[in-house]
Amino acid sequence: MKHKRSIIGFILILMLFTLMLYYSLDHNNYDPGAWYIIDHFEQFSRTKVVISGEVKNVDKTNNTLLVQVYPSPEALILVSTTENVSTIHQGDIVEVYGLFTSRNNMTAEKLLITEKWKNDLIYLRSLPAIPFALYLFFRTYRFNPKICRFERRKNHA
Amino acid sequence: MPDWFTHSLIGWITGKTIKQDVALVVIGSLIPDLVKIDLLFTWLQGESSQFFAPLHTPIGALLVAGIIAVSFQDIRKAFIPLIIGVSTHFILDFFLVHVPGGGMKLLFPFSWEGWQISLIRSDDYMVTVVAVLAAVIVYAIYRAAARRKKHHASP
Repeated sequence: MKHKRSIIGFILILMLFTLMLYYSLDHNNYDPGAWYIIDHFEQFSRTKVVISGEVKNVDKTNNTLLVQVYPSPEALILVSTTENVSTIHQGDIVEVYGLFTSRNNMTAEKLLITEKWKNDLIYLRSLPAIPFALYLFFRTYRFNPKICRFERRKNHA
Repeated sequence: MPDWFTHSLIGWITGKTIKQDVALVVIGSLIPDLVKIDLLFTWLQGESSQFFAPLHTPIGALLVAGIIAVSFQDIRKAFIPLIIGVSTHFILDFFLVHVPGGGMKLLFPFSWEGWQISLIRSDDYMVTVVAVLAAVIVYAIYRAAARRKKHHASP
């Protein structure tokens, strides 16, 4: 069939788009985002949830963290914890598992802290992968605009 | 997530050792992290993380691999190394530490449950160091084998 390839591609794109749409429309029922939890915190007063964000302030006296929740820059949550916060610094990335006690307050059962420099290093370490993958790919394949497809280079046939 | 470089090196080692198309295994090993497109939207002040999240699920990554494979001469020959690469990505991410409830949704869309073994921290750069060393060893072994083959072939 002449357009078999285009039809397969179109069906796959449609399936992927449907999957993404289903996730974005239904995730609040199963895996609610931080923004939804903050807006409907009463619903989650007995359910433990996970939020992640950046530490904006550390109060070592009261053992609390002020966390700016991802991906909502204006959402700030005060997290109370029994864990030692003396090693946590402003800018560190935190994953919090716990209960909401009010709209902007949370009691953490578990914290996972990633130091800022270590978090930045993940992105820096990722950079060499782009030229590495592109080099390997274009060493082996080239794009043929006539047939709109990638084909193996002759020395890699 | 371990960094992309670790993923691509593990993909390269896997492709080399199982004699698959290394270039496509490496590309496949990076497919699930296409989810990071949402960083661009976050930077542009948009909220898109929940839309792109399925790209970091096995079914979403397989669909992306299928879409990429369609642009190759032989779809099946391209699809197999791509899904091998995708598999290496999920195997590696499966060992990451998250707080409870923060794991990968391996069975999405049939289940929203997160799965994780919690052995490696995502910020642990020693994983990258080990991957680099392993890749160097594999490269040295294959280079030595190729030299030996060339030596035996010449009269």
